[in-house]
Amino acid sequence: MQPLMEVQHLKKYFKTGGGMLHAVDDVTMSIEEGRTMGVVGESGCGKSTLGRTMIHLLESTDGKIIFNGRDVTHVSKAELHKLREDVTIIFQDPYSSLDPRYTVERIIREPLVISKRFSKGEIDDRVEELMEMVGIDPRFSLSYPHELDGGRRQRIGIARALALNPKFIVCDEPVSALDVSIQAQVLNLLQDLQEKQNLTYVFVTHNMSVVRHISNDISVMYLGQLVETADTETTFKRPLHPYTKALLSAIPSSDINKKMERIPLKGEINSPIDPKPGCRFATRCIYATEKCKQPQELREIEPRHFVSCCRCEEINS
Amino acid sequence: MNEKNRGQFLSVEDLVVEYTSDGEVVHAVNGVSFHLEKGKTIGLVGETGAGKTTIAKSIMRILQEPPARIAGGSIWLEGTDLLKLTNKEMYEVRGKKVSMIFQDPMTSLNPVHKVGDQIAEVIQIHNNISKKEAEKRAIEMLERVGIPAERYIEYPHQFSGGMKQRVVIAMALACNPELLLADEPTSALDVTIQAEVLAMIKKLRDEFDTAMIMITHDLGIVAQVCDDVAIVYAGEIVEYGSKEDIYLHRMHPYTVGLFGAIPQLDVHVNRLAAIKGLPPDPTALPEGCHFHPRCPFATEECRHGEIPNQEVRPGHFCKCLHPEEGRSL
Amino acid sequence: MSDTNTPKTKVKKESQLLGVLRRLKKNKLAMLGGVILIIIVLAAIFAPFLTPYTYEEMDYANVLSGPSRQHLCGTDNLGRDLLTRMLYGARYSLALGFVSVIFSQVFGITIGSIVGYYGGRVEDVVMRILDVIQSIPGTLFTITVAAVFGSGFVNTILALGITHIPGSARTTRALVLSVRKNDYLEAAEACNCSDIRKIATHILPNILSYMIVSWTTATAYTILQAASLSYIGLGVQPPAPEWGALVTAARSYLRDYTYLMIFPCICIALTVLSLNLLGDGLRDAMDPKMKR
Repeated sequence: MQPLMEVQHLKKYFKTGGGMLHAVDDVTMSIEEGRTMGVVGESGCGKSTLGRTMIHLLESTDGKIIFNGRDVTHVSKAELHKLREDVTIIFQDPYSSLDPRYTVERIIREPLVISKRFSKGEIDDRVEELMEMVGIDPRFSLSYPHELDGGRRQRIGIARALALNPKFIVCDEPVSALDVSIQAQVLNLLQDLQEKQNLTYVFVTHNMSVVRHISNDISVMYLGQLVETADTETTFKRPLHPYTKALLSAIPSSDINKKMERIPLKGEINSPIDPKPGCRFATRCIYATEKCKQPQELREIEPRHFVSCCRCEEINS
Repeated sequence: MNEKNRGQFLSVEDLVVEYTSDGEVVHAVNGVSFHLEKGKTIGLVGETGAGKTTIAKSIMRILQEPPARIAGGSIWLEGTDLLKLTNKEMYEVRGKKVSMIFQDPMTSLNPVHKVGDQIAEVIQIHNNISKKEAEKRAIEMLERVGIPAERYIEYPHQFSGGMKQRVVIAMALACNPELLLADEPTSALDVTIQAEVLAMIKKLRDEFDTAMIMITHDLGIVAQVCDDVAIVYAGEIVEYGSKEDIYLHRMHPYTVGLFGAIPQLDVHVNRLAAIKGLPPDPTALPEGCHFHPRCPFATEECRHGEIPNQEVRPGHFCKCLHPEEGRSL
Repeated sequence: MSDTNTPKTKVKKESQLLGVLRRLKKNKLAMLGGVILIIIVLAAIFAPFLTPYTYEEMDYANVLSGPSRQHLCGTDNLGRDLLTRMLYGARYSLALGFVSVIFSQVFGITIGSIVGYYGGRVEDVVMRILDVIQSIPGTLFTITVAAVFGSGFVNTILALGITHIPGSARTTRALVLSVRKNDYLEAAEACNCSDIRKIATHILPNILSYMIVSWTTATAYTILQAASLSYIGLGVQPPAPEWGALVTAARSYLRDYTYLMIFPCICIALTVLSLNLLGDGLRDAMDPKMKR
């Protein structure tokens, strides 16, 4: 199957006072239509930057972005506008992502107005349809965001993202700011919408339970690089990269009879500013050897299971 | 509760806390009772605004009064009612007998002081010892939480989030408190760091035989750290029992809902069973059982009057008229 | 579900302006300020109908006469009716205040929002230039500009307006920076919102309420500054009865004819007070978070 979104050797560097911050460094990933790719990793690993670079909210430093079979790495303004009707984003913070001076109805209306493709009547109908789709009662249409709870606000953010019928949505920690009982409602909504509209998600999160629940495939990032990618079951049942193993072993299990067997990490986290070549996880890895100072590449260890570790076979045999 | 419980190490009885804002009364905690033995850990589990933090702050007596007001109840710590102590007496208790770890380490750290000095200061305040002695103890504490002694002279901003939380823990445990209140101590941390911090808290707790109240909404943390669990909803403990009671034999519909709504690594479902509706407005709590508007099992009786706290199994309490095991929302 | 079966719930729509006015109405102090201001403005407009005299008309029989039936606020050293002069003076003072503030804000907001939004090298250069200008004491700068342009009504407006551009630009920039990092701007970017649209529909509305307070204080301050310019002969020229000019003229008679000073001062104070009250009220009323 042809992937809907593909990035090849994608890089995004930021200039900082101390040097070049390699936020996303040589990431290759492909996401098939109608599926959810979970991108996990700890804070500062570049997962949000990756999502934003994919959809041109940030300009890539190097590499290729292919959407729907077309190279969209460098696009003209007109092409970008066209692209943004197909790709969009749902934000983490349902407070700062909605303009406090806009009513609910106006927030959802904005992308439709800007697209200049619809008459006023069409827009009115579409706004009503979108509100129903995400489950917001029409009586809230003239409320301001601060009058609503976090769950409803996040629904508004989702309605805005869906306004122009996108194909591909980057969900940037969409439930981590929500209360536990509300999280489930929003996750269910995202799943329903995906089913109905054949949406493709990149789901960026640090919550391993959430990502396991919602994703078909999982990519694990560490300091700007992809260390492992496979389907969800494989990632959780048979992780191959030492970092993935450590990460999964660190999650407290809700099974009271299961004792945690944490794989310890040693040492300090590398700096993402002007990093040395070689495996970035090596400083904390219990399996690290001289060999790990060589640049690593993502290799297909088993069918559709990619790992970026030169000692992968040795460790797992 | 009866006299027997006052003999317990910690016993909270019928605690009622209200906030007044804009002339409205927020019913934050409505008659909460639980007790805790030495060396044991109880988990307070619930959503934001359920009153968990208010309970902890009442025990520490660090509520902002006003707007907050402890409207009733008592908190017995080794036979003394903390709520009856004067501020001066409480000053002695705080830090030495009871200490608290907050979610955001920066609420406890002063950005312009060296971390070592901050720990030493706490030690010096509560123990009648020289500055030199306090510094020595502070270095010991730093090493205990896995921070090398050389970092004594560094400032909070030079530490990562996980390291800062370690410093806070070192500070909280510096005077060997008998009771530690941990308010979501790891929710701002990454998973691997969280695991390290939790392991450290557990180790120190066992070493010092500290009693602990762990506030969280992570069912995994509760499963791994706590002995007893209290499920808090709308300022009440709706279900209370041992970890086994709650995890294997939960009965209150809200507890059931919570377990169904939170994705768990070891339980795989295609769709989460979301609890419908929203947590109630604490200024206008529903009559009867506060959960009845969201509860699929609610009957006419649930809408009125006081809901009794039934002991459904020995030591397992459930504030529900229709407790039943093994159902789902 | 078909549309025919579900009755559409139509929510009554209230325009944002009406909402602001509704909230403003509930603020008694702001309403008081508004009423005073309207009275002053109306009095300025209808000055010829409110007084039988003209502001230059001299009554030599009644020089320096205190408040009486004939001259409600008394007369000055040339026998001119003080009330009349104050009514006409309101025209000059209010126009000076409002027009020069509008002038400085138009330029200040444009510079401040562009510089704050885009940042980078341009920001550095513009901000340093503004630093240099602001390092000159305000009044001195105004006097210099006024001296360059010469005296007269329009030139005074220009001089006062230019003086306030750097402050306005700086305030705007700081406010723009404070809202620029909000996710809703990234959300706007994600739905193809242009930069101008972002500034005009997301950034400015969110900082407007904070700027209004600075406008009203600036207007008040400008009216006072215009008065000091008149004093050194650079502002509006006599016999134009600008309020500041009235105050300065009264200085020589302060000991014996205090009313000459008191009445214009009351005018200035009332205007400044009403502007401040109205400004504070508007700031609150424009914030949708204020329910009451």
